[in-house]
Amino acid sequence: MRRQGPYLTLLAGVVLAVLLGVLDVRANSPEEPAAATSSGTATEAAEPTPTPTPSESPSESASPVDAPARANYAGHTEGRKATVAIAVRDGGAIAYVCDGQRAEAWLLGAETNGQLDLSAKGGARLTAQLGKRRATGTVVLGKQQWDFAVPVVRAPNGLYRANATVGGVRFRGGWIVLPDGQTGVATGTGTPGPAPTLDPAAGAVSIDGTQVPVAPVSGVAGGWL
Amino acid sequence: MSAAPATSSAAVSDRPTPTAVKLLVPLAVGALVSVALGTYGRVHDPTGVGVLVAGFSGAQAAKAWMATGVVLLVLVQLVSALVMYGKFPGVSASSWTAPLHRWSGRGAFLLSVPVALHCLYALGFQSNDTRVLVHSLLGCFFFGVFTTKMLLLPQRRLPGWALPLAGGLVFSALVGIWLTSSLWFFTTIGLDF
Repeated sequence: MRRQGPYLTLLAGVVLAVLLGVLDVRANSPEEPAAATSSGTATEAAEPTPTPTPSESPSESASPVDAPARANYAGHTEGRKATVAIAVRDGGAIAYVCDGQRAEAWLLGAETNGQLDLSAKGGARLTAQLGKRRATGTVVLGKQQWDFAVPVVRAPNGLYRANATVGGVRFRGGWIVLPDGQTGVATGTGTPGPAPTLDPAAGAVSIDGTQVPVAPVSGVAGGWL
Repeated sequence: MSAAPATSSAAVSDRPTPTAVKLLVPLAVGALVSVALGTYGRVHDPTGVGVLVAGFSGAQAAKAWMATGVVLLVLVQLVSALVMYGKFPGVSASSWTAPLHRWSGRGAFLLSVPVALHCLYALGFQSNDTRVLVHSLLGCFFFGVFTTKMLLLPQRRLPGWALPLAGGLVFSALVGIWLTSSLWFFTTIGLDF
């Protein structure tokens, strides 16, 4: 018995990991058919007009009541090609999607019964189903389309925005801060590029020696776009 | 420890295994575990979500507190090990010291599994800043060195330094993991539950 003890300990750890792993996969799998359906439908349509297919998923249709009135969601899209953040507040929502390099979009719209259909000036579109713990949906940005299932996040994780004039130049930036890092795109004089690293606690980034204020975005406020 | 020289009943097939083999096999298995975990964390697509205990505001809070529980148990490990090796003058190991060491260790290990699983499954191996890189490396290292330690325990007539070294590495790895995660969480985000 004594000499087997350590082996049994290791075995118990493995068994526990397998059990929890099965739970994890189960918890994540109901989302996958919905995501797959939405991408399939939209690809067949061959046009960036995604129907809000996730809402038709039977596993999610019972849950609009779960959608919180105020929540921030953020995370990577499938395959980690882009990062998306959604801030919902009292029936309105703002979302930001970016690839951390050049592509980005700020999207605005209304939230109805946990359903989002947001759009941006440039033609980007985001549809999502909001849940208590995560938002599931599809975002179309330019010619690209990504499915996502992103969890609820809490400060300092979430969405940040800068919009200021520095030395006569308008500086705009968006950041999505996640537990595992941040992505952002900023536009100064030229074309959009990767945003400078943001310290969420600082509330500002340094652009050419000037402190530019950066504010957390937790809902739709006045003065957008 | 249970594998101390006091063990009396000699096994029937007590062929003397060379010391090098007794050390190297656990070491190799442990190394494999570390590399496998790191590779899995790096290769698979992090899901962003994973199952964790209810009652906390979020996965991070749950993990930070569970990891803190692990570290407290591991401190018990350190003290009980030092007592067993007679490193506290005037304190001698009593009958419950070894069981305390064994069971606090098992508790710590089992408590660390869900935390690590969430890290690997939901987040993966990350290297985008120093804290996260160190945490990822130590996390993979911990389960490897723990495996090594478990495989070393049943071996007889190990060099005297083997178990303290393995145990010390397990302890250091866990403290490092805690410093780069829970302590960071409590100081940057606050003592959230």
